[in-house]
Amino acid sequence: MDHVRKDSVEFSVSETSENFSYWLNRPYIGGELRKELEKSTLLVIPSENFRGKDGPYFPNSTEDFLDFLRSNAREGLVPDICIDDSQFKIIALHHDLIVLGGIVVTAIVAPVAADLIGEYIKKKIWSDKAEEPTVKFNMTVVETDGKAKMMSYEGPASAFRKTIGAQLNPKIHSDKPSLEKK
Amino acid sequence: MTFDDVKTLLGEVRINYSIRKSPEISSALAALKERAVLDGEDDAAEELCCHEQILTIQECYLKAFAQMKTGEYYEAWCVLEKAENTLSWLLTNYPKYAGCFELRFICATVPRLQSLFPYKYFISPEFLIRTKRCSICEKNISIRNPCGHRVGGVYKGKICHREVSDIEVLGTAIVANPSQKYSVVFLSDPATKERKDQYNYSVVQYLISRLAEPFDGWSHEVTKRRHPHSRYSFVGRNEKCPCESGMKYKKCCLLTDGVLRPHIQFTFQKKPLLAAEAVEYSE
Repeated sequence: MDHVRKDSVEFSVSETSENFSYWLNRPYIGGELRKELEKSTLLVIPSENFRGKDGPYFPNSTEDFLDFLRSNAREGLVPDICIDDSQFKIIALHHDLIVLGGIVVTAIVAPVAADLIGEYIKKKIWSDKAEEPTVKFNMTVVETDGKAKMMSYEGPASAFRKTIGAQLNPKIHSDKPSLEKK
Repeated sequence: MTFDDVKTLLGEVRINYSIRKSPEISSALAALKERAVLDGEDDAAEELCCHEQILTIQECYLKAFAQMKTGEYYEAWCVLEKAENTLSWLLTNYPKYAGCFELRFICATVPRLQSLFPYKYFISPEFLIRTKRCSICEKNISIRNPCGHRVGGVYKGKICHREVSDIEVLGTAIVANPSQKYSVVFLSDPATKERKDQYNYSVVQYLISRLAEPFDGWSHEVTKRRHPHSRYSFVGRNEKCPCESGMKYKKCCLLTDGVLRPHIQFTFQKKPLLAAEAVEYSE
């Protein structure tokens, strides 16, 4: 696993087997829903365990986040959520964090998705707040052969776009922090 | 009262705050909005709804200022939070209002005032939410087939929110960055069970006592400065250092020419109620 800690930004990249196929075959995904989810290029995914309680659970902002993705989807981005209505449950932790949970996205639309999520975060911050909010987010990027890497970000909202962008497109973001092998 | 009258009154809050009759402005806005909704003028109703929120923000700020003047600090803290939340809604959804109605001043001042309060830890509940419904259409929320009403959007003059109908409290946590700031941790009197306010509000008190008017400008800078050891003569050499480093006094600040403590310097745009133009406060 590659891990970077730069000031208050915690950012890590690790290989994962949790690609689209993994999520589409979770026990709470029925046959009809699976067919629908197969069309998506971006899946909002749940957490499956919260302090010993079996999931799936989503963070509080999921409805707003998904609505933003649906309303602003572009360039091949087809967002959906990995859950049926009857099983949609929210964990509200009530910290002043922007917890976006996780997404799985195809490599080809990952830069567009990262840009869009950056826009969403920017929209959530209103000016002159005493302290900048912290963002918690996981993004799994899946290549065409099914190989996947998960990027985990926890840090100030303002550094999100640059940090994720540097990982997805290092040629554009040349000031990418170096990754130290753990 | 016409809408133009309301806008003038809201726009001149800096000079009319002590004489304007807010309940009358509120009633006028409600009546104008009701008429707009009846006439099917949704855009006008939306604009009137925004001005109701602008009035709320101004009134919250003015109320908090008055409460701080009279020493009701926790009450002022709660009202400042309401101002913050309403500002957050308004400026996220309608950024065009940021430069009007003294909102830029309030927007900058509320968080700076909050930062001067001594509250650092808060009780924060954690919930599992199973069902919630839309306040506009009252339908249960479907994540796959949304009703189309966006939280924070205005529909027929009403702000859309979610009403939780099936919820489980999972626990509570003590946090430094709560989403609801009113949940301050207080001590209670073991005999009467009544709240005991153990906090030191001297910084807020110092600032507010020097401001003549709610819209007088000020700024502050937080640094650290060494204070004479004579102020800490009650602290023993082997006790913990008053600078809160965790080390013994004799192995920390006692080796230097003073105790390192936070120092706040206030600068006032108008002459403060005391003589100096820039007044310093040291904890």
